[in-house]
Amino acid sequence: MLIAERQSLLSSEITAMESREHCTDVLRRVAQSFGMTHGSIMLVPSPGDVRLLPLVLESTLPIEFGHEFDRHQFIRYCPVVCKFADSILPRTWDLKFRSDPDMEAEWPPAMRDLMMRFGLVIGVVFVFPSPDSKLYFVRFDGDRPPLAQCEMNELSMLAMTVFDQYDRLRRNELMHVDVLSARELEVVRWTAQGKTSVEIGQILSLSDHTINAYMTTAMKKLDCVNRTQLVAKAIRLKIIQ
Amino acid sequence: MAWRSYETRHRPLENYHAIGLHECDVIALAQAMQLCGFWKLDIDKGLFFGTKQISDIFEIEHIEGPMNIQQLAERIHPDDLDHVSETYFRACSARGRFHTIHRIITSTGVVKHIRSVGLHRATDIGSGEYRGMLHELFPLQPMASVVAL
Repeated sequence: MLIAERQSLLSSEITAMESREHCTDVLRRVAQSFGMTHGSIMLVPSPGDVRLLPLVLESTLPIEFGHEFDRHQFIRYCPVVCKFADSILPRTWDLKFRSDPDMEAEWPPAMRDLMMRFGLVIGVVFVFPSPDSKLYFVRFDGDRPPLAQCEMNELSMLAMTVFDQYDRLRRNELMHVDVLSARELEVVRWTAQGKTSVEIGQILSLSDHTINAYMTTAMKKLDCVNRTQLVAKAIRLKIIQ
Repeated sequence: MAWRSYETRHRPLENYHAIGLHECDVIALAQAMQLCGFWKLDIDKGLFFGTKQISDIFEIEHIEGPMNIQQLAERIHPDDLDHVSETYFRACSARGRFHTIHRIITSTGVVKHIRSVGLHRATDIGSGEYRGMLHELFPLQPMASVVAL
């Protein structure tokens, strides 16, 4: 497939991403288009971080990899993370050390062994800032020959588009917090506490029809299709905690 | 460290009747060595029902009728809460099977791992419901122990 054609196809798929739930599928699609297997979005670790998993927002990596990585606290020794202290340029690695034999000394053997076992032979990570002033990594892993410069350029553009779309959705979700009226919040809170519409109506001295109307508006505002989703999202957005 | 999966491994139902076991034996076995409870989630109404063992696992007072999801959420490890709520959010669209492993913090501050499995079941009207099981998860270390009956 031509580069322009691939980029155009993936770009339209990325911009069609309407919810964060679809992000892992898109990450996987982008990775596979470049002969890799996994894609992830995560917060950039700070010097005090010892574990990777709490930083991961979306990933197609197997959880077993994350557990083993964290059991050894490899994040503290990861040469890629260390390099971002000096530069925001994308970083690549090749654990077969085909293009840069000096790289071998940087990688702890146990960490290399773990990544090889999970087929994470080569990888690339891009760093992007969000308007919330935090930094995020978009990372792709797999087992293929090292990426050529033109592939890096193309992937960089796609990673930026994925991150931009993902981050916009994430920030939109947070903006919804203020959108619910006091009454709608109250209704959602009572639902989370296990009350039916009739019971909430009795508590608030309103008819159950009015309660259902508040609920429907709240669902619309938070882009949910049922009350379970409404409660789950309200908890995730910390609206009712 | 929360983790979810929607990938399923289809296995035929074990023919436990053929060897003289019954459904109640299977439940008794599931609960023999660890706390294991069962739950039901009405998707459209957002109501979560659980057996007493669910309350015991979360160390909250058991009441008849729908459980207080907010109270359950307060017991979930803060780092895992996003993941767990998102799992249930997605499950309500996917309407298939899922399982999720996450941590909860007990009243004494002890962190324990639990696993929740859900299976969607269609109902005559509406989005249907999830029926599930939730149990404590122990570190998978080789061990042998006998509990006197």
